[in-house]
Amino acid sequence: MLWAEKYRPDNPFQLVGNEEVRLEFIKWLKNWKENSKAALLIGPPGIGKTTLVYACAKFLKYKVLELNASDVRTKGKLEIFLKPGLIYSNLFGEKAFAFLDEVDGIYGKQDYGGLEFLLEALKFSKVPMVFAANKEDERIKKLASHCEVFRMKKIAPRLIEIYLRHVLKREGLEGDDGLIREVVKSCEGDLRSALNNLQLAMANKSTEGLLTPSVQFPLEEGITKFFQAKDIYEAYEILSSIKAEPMDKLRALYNTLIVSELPLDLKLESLKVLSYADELLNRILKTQEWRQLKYLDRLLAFGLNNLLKGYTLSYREDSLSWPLKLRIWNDSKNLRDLALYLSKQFHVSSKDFLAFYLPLMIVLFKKKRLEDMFRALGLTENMIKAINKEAKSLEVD
Amino acid sequence: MKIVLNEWFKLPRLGKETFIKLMSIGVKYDKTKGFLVNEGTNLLSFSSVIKEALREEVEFYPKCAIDELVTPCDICAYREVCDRKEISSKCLCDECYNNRDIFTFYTTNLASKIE
Ligand SMILES: Nc1ncnc2c1ncn2[C@@H]1O[C@H](COP(=O)(O)OP(=O)(O)OP(=O)(O)O)[C@@H](O)[C@H]1O
Ligand SMILES: [Mg+2]
Repeated sequence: MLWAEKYRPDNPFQLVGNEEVRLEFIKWLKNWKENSKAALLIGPPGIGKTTLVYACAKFLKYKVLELNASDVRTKGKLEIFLKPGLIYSNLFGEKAFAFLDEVDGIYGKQDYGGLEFLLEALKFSKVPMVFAANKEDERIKKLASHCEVFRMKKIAPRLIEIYLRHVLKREGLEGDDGLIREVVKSCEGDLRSALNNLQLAMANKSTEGLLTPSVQFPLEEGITKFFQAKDIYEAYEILSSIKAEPMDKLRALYNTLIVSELPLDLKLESLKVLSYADELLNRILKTQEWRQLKYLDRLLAFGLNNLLKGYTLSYREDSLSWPLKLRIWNDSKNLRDLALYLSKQFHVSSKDFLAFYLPLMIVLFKKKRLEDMFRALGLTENMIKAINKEAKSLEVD
Repeated sequence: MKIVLNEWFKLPRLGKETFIKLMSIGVKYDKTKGFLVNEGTNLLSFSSVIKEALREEVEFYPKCAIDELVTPCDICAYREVCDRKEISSKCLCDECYNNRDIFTFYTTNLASKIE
């Protein structure tokens, strides 16, 4: 388990840094009355904004009504949450506040009426509302003008150090002074990054390869580094530092795996991991729960790094598979029939087959490795014809 | 110019415009005590306002979160990586920092400040 999760403080006094702000926020929540302002926590990543909100809820015995982007898109949904009525009255006298985390991320994605609804909700809400954000763009500024703003800053290195030592103690580990110092120096005041790096450094017994949070890799370099990572933690760190949309990351992993020289069974297993990730990503896109994106990187890192121990792959982009995937989804009935049949033979879902196995078959076809394919899959002549046709048609794409 | 965070200090006479700028970035002012920069102040803006008005670089010194002593930043092992304009306004003095039970002290100290 990641230490950053395991040691998330559940009491507002167990955090480090931003002492005044923490006290002020507690005071704000304690004194909140109807028509008081909402709260907006602004600050850089990894300093405890989300943690503080949940810790204060626990400390003052509040329930947290967690809002997500889709909740704030329609006024109706918001009202359900925030007006006396359905959910609110079901709290049976419990105190509660509404929390919309990473509000800047939500509005960064696309511009819809959400902010207007939110501002209106501030007026009718019978419960306190709390927002958290990293950046202060125009929209957040507008929101801020209706809120009590709590500005949180980076954590002082000495405070980070005592927190790291506290975690090591609870893990029953002895940390070398030099190692701890290097970790603190690398984190730029970001405690999440410090904890991740500490866990990595302790596992490797070395501070080699620590990542500063501001290090961001271009897609190509990042994917290659990802496949060279020593362990799952490093793999996760690298993947989450890649400067690309999640869909593009997934696509790059997919292309790289498909054209790699991995043994077939490993290749199929790793494509399975991508299939899970793809499903998760689709769910996130549908529900707009961007916070879950963290789990996407984690899933990929844990799944692939374990599976591919001992292999080094590097970024490749010459696969035909993505357009094919779209084609399959969009039109080809023959391929669907084929998939239905083959998926039964190989005990996978036909969706998995279409998404991952078939493109693989076609790429192998292209590489003139037909013999392998026959042996691995035991196809009939008719089926081979169908694939062959598809492979040919793709060559002109 | 050395400025201790959370401690009143005097500034030479400033123009009205500069004064208004300082107020807008969260600097506190009191007729007798002078100015105060604390957690709520935007320290980046403060430095640039002072630099423009007085042509002087500002160096901030945080106080210890426990006993309010000024932190010895000049001899701290982290001095090159610590951007004091961007961190929150309290740190630890040497004595507290080197105490074996510092984490417990630190957390109970803050908890005691809430009634
Ligand atoms: N001030 C802190 N004190 C103790 N632990 C912290 C602190 N800040 C962060 N952490 C650790 O880092 C993890 C991430 O913190 P958190 O999710 O609260 O950051 P955040 O400020 O909300 O970041 P983001 O802007 O990325 O959402 C926590 O689980 C916790 O383990
Ligand atoms: Mg957060």
